[in-house]
Parts: sequence; structure tokens; C-alpha cells
Amino acid sequence: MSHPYSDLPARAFWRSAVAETDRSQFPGLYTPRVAITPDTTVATAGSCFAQHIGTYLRMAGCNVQDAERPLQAMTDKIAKRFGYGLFSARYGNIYTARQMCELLEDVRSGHVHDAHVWTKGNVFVDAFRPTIEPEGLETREEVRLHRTHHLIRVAAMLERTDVFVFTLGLTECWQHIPTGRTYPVCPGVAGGIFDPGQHRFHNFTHAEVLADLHRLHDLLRSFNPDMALILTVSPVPLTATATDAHVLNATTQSKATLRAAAGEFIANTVNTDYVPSFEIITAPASGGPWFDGNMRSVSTAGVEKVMSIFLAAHGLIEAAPEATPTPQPDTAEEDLVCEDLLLQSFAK
Amino acid sequence: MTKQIHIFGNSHLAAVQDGYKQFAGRWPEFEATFIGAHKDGLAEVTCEDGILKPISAEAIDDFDRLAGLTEVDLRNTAAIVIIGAGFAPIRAAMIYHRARWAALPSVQANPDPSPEWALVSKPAFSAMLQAKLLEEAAGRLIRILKRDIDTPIFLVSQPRATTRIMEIGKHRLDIVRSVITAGDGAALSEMFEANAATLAEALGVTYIGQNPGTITQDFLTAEPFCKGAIRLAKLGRFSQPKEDVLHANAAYGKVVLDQIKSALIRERVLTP
Repeated sequence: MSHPYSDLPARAFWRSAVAETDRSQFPGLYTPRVAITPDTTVATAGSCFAQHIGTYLRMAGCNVQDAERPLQAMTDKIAKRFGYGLFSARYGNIYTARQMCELLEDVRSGHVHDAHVWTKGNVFVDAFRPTIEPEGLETREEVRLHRTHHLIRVAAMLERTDVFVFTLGLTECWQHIPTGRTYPVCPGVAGGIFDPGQHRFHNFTHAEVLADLHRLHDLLRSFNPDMALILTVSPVPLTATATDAHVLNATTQSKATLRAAAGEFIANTVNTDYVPSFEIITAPASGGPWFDGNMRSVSTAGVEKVMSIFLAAHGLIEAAPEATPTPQPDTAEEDLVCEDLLLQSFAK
Repeated sequence: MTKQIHIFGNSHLAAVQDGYKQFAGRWPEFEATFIGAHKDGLAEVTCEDGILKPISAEAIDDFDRLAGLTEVDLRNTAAIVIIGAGFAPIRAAMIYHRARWAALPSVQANPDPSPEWALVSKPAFSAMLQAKLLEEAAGRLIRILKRDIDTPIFLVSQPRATTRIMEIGKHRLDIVRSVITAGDGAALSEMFEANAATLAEALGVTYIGQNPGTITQDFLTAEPFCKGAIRLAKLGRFSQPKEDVLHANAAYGKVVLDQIKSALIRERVLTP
């Protein structure tokens, strides 16, 4: 008897694709629609988990862009402290598709908004990347000048980019009411002063994220019409939620929204792709647990598992054997720079 | 009572040593032993129970040839002075070559991005400069000494480049000329001095900056303090060749020794 399931490939069935497969590599879990080779020019942005993608692509010999590369005189420690080398430019963590779109619009226009210079004690920071200058800048003008240089360098970088990898991190955000702009972190946490009359909480819906992804795709192609967009969803749970929900429920809703929007976006676009990092880390079938003791930070072994599947699918490394946690201190979380983590310091 | 002090240094030690000889008797409060070594030689040493020993072949050779010593007994010294050994304003200029901060006059005059340099914050520039200075021979020697002894240590800045850099034509240190012509000398000089002092404090030593009376155009050593300079070269002591834009003379050494004396008094190593 013939029916739609009779000719489906092995990857469509749980038993053959999950229960009885080689779960170290999950054959068929990720079949790239967008190719990355050592000659491909890749740029990365997104939440803290996105930092791993650039790092591992570089290790695999790929051409990962860095619009604001660390200077020769910078030690690795200094570079990381000042936000160099984490992503393809010093834009800091970008947790939402909306903020990514707004950054690209700034890059296109070159406009620097005066309203988004935050005070931090006696110094000033860029509200859209408040942690990249940990000691702040001396004047508002200096913040504006740094942002102007940043936007110019990002524009040049995007024109050279073949593949843009963006990691969706959150649906929850804080926005500036008068301009509608989206911040990476709540005002008052890493600079600025929280003002209920000026700032509002917003939790993006599926429809909003989906619309933002289409807008993001269009914006990227305005810099380079052939630029491909690869999406991932960060498996890292929320540090804190500003909703009334329990943080675990809020995390599930946020990640489900992002995952569903990414899936729908990919299904209806070309030259786009999705890397199942979220699935690999969070699905019990993939082994693990791939989280550290705090149940939030992805372990080094977990990151290696995701990246080995990703790189092997692109032919950038040979498929690795079953991931064995390296017997060394787990530094995956310590190595990342996450503005979101600052919220933890406010936990009661 | 005359105190024993030990003065370590790289090629810039020659100016101080010459000053000590030419103006003998000017500093009866202390008797100085000079120990020179090239490049990283000063950091290629061990110090145990107050005895400092060179350990690399080059350092052993330098200590022997330049000071006639196989080891240095620091147990009875009242103070240790380190001259230069990489603690130099030129280090700030090397970073400036690729990095500028917003308040620099040249950036204020032309704030557009440049392919030659990146805009960095002052804290980032400071961090780079301090990291660089810390890895110079002076910083490494200080850390070796501090692990073993608690004798007061004084760190003297290398002199700024000489005015000859402005006339000499193409030179590997052209960046110094660029600093001056861009009008950034004062800001860069201030940047160096602030970070040198901060780092010295962090290392637990007393910093002695270049005497302002010997400086011209903010980032250069004035002509009277450079003419006829001698330097400690690999094969001995030589007059300053034409392309040398780094070394000062005995008159400069005299000024440094006066500064050292003042610092020794200030830190109560000597009594006024």
C-alpha cells in the first residue's frame, strides 16, 4: 500500500534518524543549503553563542571577516576586554533580529543617534554596545565618533561578505520609546539610567521576528545582492525574564518563537539556511547533558559537538568520533562575552 | 654616609655612566655600580637570596664584558636603579603608528577613518601600552627582583628620541617625526608618562620620568643633551653614529643622576 511516508528518506523517521543512528554526527540532521568553503567570506553576529561560530570557522581555516580587527599590540586578553575579535565587528552582542536590522539601517545611513549615548558614572558608552568599552569614553562626542567609525567599517565589511551567520538569542528586549530603538540590554544594567517614561519592555512575537528576518535578509542584500544568510538559534537560556512567567517557561516561549520564525523564514526564502545548534544542545536524544553545572552555559564539549557537525557538513573537517568531553576546566562560558549575563548580578 | 646603589640598564646606561664619571664627586651620598646588558639581557637573570646571576650566554657575556661581573651581590645595596631597558616613550609611538584616540589633535583635525590607523579608546591605548611596557626587559627584571628582595627599586624612563630624527630623512623611527608634525607630541607624551607611572606603582617601584628641562617639542630630547652621546654597543663603547636618534649624552646622564638622588631622598633611602 502506498502513502506519503513510504518513500521518505531515513532522516524523516525517528527510529532511523535518531534512535538507531550515529548520534555523534546525526547524519542528515544538517544538510547545508548554503555552502561554506575556505574561500567563502563569512561574517558573524548575534548572541554570545555566535562567538563560537566565528572562532571555529577560523580554526577550520575559513575566511571570517573582522572589520575592526585587534591591533598587533593587543594581547588576547585586552582584545576580548574591549570587544575585539568576538564577532566580525565590535558590535557586541546582538540578541534580537530587530536590533540587527536597526544596526544595518544605521550602517546604510551612517546616522548616529544622539539619544543613544548612555552615561555610566562619569563616562559615556554606546547604548547599542555598552560593554565594548568597559571603562567608557570621556565625552558624548567621542562615543559618536567611535560609532561613526564602527558603522563605516561594518559597511565595508558587509560589501565583502558572502555568507552572514546570525544567531538569534532572545525575543525579550528593552526599547527606547521616543525612537523605538531596541537595546541589547536593559538601560541601567551596563550604563544609562532606566526611565519608565522613556523605556519599555517588549517581547517579540513570532510574526514580528519573522518580519524582522525578512527585513534583515533584504538589508544584507542591499550591501551585497548575493549575500547568503545562515541562522542559528542560541541554545543558551535566558539569564532573566522581565515577563511575569517563570524564567524556564519564558525561555521555552522565547526559543520556540525564534525557532518557529527561523523555520518559516528558511522555508520561504532562498540563499538562506538554518543550523540546528539549538536542537543538538537541547534535545535529550543528542546525548549530553551539554550544559555546565548552572544548566545555562553550554559546555565546551557541547560547543564542539555543534561545531563538528556544522564544519563536517561543509566538508571543512572530517566527521569527528563521538564527542568526548575534554578533561580540562570548562571555559566555554568564561570565554564568552555576554551582556545578558550582567542581569545575573541583580538576582536576589 | 655613602650608600651603595646598583644601576642597571641597556645602551642608555652609557649616558648615566659617563655623567657619573665626568661629574665625579657631585653625588657623594652614593656610590654606584653599573651593570649593562643589551636587548633582553637584563631579564635573562635569576635572583636568589640577593644574588643576581645572568643565565643566558648573552647576558653572561654582557655582565662580564661591560661590568666585569659574573654575578651581582644585591644584599647590601641601598637601592636598585633601572635605566630604560625598554621603558621608553618610543613604545607609545609604535602603538600610535596603528592606533589613535579621539582627543588627539590630529584626530580632532581630521576625524575620518584612516586605512593607516584604527580609532581606539584611551583606556584601550593605555592597556596596550602597559602590556607592552610590562614585557620589556625592565618590567621583567623588576618582577624577578621583587620575587626575591625588597630593596627599593627606581625605574628611569629612556630618553625621548633626539631632535636629529626631524632632519635625518627616512628612518625606521619615522613615526616619531609623524607624532611631532601631527601635533600629537604633547598628548602622546602625557599618555606615556601617565601609564609609566601607573605601571611602576603597580610593580611596586618608583618611576622617574624624563626631566622636562631635557625635552623639546614634547616628544624629543633637546640637542644639548644628545650631542656627543656615547652608547654601550655590542663590541664596546662607541660615539653616536649619525643614524642614532635614541641616545643621550653625559650632560643628560648628570640630570638623571640628580633626579635619582632626589628620588632616593624622597623615598628616604638617603637623608637630605
